[in-house]
Amino acid sequence: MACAAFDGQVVRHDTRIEDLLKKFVCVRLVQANDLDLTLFQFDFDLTFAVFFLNADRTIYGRFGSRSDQKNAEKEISLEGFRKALTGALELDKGYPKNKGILAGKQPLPVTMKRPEEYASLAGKYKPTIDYEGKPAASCMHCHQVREAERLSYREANKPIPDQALYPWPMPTVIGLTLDPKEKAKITEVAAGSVAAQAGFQAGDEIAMLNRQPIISTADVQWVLHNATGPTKLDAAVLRGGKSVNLQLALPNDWRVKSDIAWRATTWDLRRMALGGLVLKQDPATNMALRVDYVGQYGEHAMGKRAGFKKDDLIVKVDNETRPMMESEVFRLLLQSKSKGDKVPFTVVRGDEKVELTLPMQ
Amino acid sequence: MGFCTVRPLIAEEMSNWTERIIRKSEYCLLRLRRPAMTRIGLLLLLTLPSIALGAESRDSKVINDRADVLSAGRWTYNDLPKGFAEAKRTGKPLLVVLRCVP
Repeated sequence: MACAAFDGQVVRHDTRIEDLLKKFVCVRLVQANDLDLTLFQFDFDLTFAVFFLNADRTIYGRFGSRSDQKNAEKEISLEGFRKALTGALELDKGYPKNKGILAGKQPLPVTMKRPEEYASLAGKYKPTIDYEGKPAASCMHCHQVREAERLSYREANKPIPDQALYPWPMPTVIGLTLDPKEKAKITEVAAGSVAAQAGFQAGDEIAMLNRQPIISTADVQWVLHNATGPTKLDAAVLRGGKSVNLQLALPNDWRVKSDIAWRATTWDLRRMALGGLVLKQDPATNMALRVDYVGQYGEHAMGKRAGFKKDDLIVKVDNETRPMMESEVFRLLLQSKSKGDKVPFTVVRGDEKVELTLPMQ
Repeated sequence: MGFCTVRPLIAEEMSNWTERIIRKSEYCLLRLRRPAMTRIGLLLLLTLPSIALGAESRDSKVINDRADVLSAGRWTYNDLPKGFAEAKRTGKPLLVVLRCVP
């Protein structure tokens, strides 16, 4: 199970973190049923996420990041978790004097205060898990919250906004690779990226971002998640024992390069925009998208019914011929097409070009 | 889990039962290279026990998680108000883990 090993270490109070965990009141929530969305705003595709907060509901930080389908623990480590715990305790020690710098870490106003307020989830779940009956079936999963949010836009014939399509961007989107064994230490800065342009360097430790103290990769993601481009974010990094101030300039559309293929919630985006097709970058050309999988049933078989076949190379989507990732196709279609619209696709199959029409859902 | 766990990680992440069943069926069909009727028959034979076993396993995971964690006595389980009350009483900060079990 995804994150099971890590979760097991935390829940058993592994000896490497036991001393710090004792300094917290530890709460385990295993359901999204009746979840307080005015407080718990996180990456709903995660199967393991942590909040550090106090009895006043003031959040000190978040922990839990993921960027890969198979390796759920690639971005986290017990060492990094220990450092996040230490960081949270330091912030708790400084509270309430540090209330000002914590302001940006607090939850933002939401439309729905509970998942059950979304139309697609209303009436389907009770507030608690039915342990005496069907425990698994009665448990609402966190990813259903994101799916419900997207559906609310889709059903209202509104474009799904970038923040809902590309939630919780990993720092790699802006060119930063962080060390999972540290709080937010940079191991690599991609050449030409916005992070490189801002002056970030490998070895820098991000101490503050957008005037918020950073104790984990998830904290960086929180800032990025709520940054709508174009915008500028102030940063303070520790470099060689000194604090260096930088400014990150995020252009418009900066988050669009996020690869969301690993996310459980992408399954439903594929239904809406691609009729159940799964697209992957063609390794031969590295330009066109190849149909890697064709859904077989229900609304996930719309692509099949439209005539798509496995290994078709998609070279044109709705008159758009530039190379795109699957994630970008979602944006193209889910922000400009409504349910029922018919979108022309051109695919290359063997030696021939085939014109297909895919209804949007 | 046998034949139908062709893509276990993907299947694992699907929590909605309808989606899970559809995915299992789809991946099983992908593996079969037989006439349509045979496919459907085999599909039913192969997927239903697997799905039933999966359901048992998922329920057990949820039940066992609660039993194991509560017996260890270190965590407040699925009770946030109790956690806040404890934090107020002790002056300690809270660490809240949100975990998708099944």
